[in-house]
Amino acid sequence: MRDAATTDLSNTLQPVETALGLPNEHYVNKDVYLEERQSVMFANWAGIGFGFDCPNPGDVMPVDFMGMPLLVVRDQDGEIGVFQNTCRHRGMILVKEKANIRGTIRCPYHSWCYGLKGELRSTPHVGGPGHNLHDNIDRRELGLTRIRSFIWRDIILVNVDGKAADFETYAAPLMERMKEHTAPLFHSNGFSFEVACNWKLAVENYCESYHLPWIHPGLNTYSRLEDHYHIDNDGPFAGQGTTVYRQLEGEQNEVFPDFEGLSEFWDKGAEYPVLFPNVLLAFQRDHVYALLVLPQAEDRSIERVELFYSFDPKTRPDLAALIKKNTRQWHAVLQEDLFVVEGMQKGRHAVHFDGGKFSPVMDNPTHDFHLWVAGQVENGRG
Amino acid sequence: MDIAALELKLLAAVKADDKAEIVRLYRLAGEAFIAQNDINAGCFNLTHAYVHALETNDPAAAGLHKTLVLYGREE
Repeated sequence: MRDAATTDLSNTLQPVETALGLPNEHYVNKDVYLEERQSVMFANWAGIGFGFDCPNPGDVMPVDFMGMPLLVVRDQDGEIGVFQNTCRHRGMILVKEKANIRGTIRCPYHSWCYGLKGELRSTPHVGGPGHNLHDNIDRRELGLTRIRSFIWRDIILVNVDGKAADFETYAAPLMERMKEHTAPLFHSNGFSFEVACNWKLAVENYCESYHLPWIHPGLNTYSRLEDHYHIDNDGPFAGQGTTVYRQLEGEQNEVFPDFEGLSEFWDKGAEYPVLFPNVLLAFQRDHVYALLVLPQAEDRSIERVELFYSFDPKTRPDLAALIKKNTRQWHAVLQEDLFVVEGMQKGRHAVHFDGGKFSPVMDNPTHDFHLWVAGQVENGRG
Repeated sequence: MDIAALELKLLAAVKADDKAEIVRLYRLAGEAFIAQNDINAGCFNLTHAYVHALETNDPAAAGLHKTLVLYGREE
């Protein structure tokens, strides 16, 4: 098996007509997984959680992002910040479980204390017992290491290496495409799956509509393959859309209220783009969701799905049953994909599999993703 | 000051994770040592009171900070 430095991406970096998919090593090899961690996940804007995970000032949430310990903090001003979850002293993990911090974050080892904006507030006994100052300890230089973060549609995104373009530049093409979707979002509920596959397979499957009639026959009764179109372009996103979106109805024919500000297109239109690398989105007239693919290992991922509406569910008990029905429906649909992504993962151990031949007509968004990943990996290799 | 008795109370407070009591007892100990002119032992205990007060946003933190600054132990 090739190592990370020598995977050959030349066959992937080709037009869709002649390209092959990423080599097997990008799905089964630990070294390549770690290479992608740096070149793909840390070098771009990746989703790690949601603002509602930390709803109150003082809420903190540790996140293990591909082994990188992060800490999400909502400070007393209500702002979300993301930090490296390690003390500047000995690298001890600061917070090991979700909590509400009334005052400062105290390292459990030697009790260095940090404010919720990351500032170092106290360094007990650092100059000897009872002496909390030392000329060589400049607290202004020893705050928590802040990780670049951005909150978009309540999704917490981070750029770990700090070198990507600003998020609003990075995601500009997708934000422009979805510019009508600016109404406030209200979270209702969500669910997650533990999946035995490399994170990219979950992304690839989401990008394309080719599989819909085979894997989601229930959808195909009203949303046929020919009603779908590709979303593919030069930006860091790809996916698919439909022209026959049908609102879910309750027993009394009730439907969810629409988001404000949407044009006629969205009456029957819906779009399902992936913001690379790991934020899978659904845009519809009456509800949206975000699915974060959270890599756990080269062959394991968590898919976390959270649904949002145009109204506060607490104010509409009359829609509670419909929300439940909608959640069940999406759970069922997305669960239908799991055997496929797990099957493709197993398939990547077939030593003669060459990355796979794309349909030049149906696999364009998937090819876009492969091209983008390969480009990021090549960039990382310099 | 009965340091042994104070230590027992402190251990009980730590076991109960009673932060307010931990702050109070360390402060008592710190002030007692300072009253005996043992500034280092006093600041040691006041530091512990301060750290736990900071952690829990205990209103005692401001006064503890002021004292520690006075003795050149905080900024």
